Amino acid sequence: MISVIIVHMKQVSLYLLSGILLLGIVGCEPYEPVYTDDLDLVITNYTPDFDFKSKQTYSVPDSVVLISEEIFSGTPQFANPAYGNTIIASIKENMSAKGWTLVDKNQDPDVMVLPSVSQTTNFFYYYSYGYWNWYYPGGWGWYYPGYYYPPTVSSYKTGTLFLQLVDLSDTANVDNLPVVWSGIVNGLAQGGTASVNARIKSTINQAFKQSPILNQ
Amino acid sequence: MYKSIIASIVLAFVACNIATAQVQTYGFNYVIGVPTGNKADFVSDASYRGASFEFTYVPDDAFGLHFEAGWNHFYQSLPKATYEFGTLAITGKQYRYSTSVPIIVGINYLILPEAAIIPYVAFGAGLMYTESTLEAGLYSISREAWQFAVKPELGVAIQLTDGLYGKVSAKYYQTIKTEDVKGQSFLGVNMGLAFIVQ
Repeated sequence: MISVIIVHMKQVSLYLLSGILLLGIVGCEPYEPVYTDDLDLVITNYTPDFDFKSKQTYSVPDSVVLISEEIFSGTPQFANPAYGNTIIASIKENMSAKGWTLVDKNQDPDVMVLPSVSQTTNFFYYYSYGYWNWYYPGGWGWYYPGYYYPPTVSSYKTGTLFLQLVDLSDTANVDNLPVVWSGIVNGLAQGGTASVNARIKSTINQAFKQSPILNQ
Repeated sequence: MYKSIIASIVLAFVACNIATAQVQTYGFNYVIGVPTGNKADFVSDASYRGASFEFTYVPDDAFGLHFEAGWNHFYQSLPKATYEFGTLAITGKQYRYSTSVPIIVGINYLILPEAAIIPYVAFGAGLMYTESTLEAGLYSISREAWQFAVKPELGVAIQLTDGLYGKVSAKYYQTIKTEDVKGQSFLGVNMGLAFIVQ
């Protein structure tokens, strides 16, 4: 059987040393992510019973609305064109690649794509339609048919780009416009203009790439 | 049910300890965790960050009682990919973390107590705390649970000097599912030292 002895000081030291060494071994925590774009997230969702193939034309505004935390009234602010232009161009490029035809908002488009950005700590998809009255007046609200919702975004020091594809087929008879597809791009709002624009472009491309439902 | 099992094990442990103290050992182990089952579905990479502390009381030659508290941290990063959930599609990198803290009491049986290399088996039960976190982009979802756990163990102890033993053992932890968290399991490969005190 195991022999019984009184523990000596030498052993106490060894005992402590083994404990300290053990803590040293197990204490290292991997630090990731390494790059800013490791944090980029692209989320898309759509209403499954909407017939996207029955629509062909779309319009898109030439500015990107900047959503703030304050209660909105009057004319909205717009995103810095240095980024806004990239967003609009990327949307047009991708919609065109999917087979959609760009028309003016006065040419009775089937759908419109509304891009907005937010750098607030809390961003909600049910923000006021009033932000868009400058582009497409009508005083509508939103709804997300088919029981789907874009996720609520709540984070700190981040930039969020929100794309809403809105069905315009029944504007005369409804109070709320159906958002039949939505895309959210979220990431750290930091870096030089060129690198942010490169990330905007690649993430918008990704939003369309992961949405084959938009193919014409 | 679980509470009464744990309480009776703890009581037996305390009662024996008070009765006639024979041999007590304290030990530290470095633990490599290999996830299995539901835990492996969440994090499949082995954990090289783990440790456990053991206290063993041996009232006679063969049977003993033990208490252990351990800690293992599992981590895995998933490459940037698109994950689809119905109509929802999410593209991003994922970082998954899971921490397990088993707190177990149980019995040991020394198969060959007089041998130079002492093989032993043990069985324990207790609680395991699990915290699992999934990070994607700037979002983080975390779940934690205290679950009832059982642990069979197989190992060997080798005498290094008087009163000092080296130990290698394999412990398999299995928890019972709770309302929000599935049953968790992993294999802990323990390597460490045990010190005898009277």
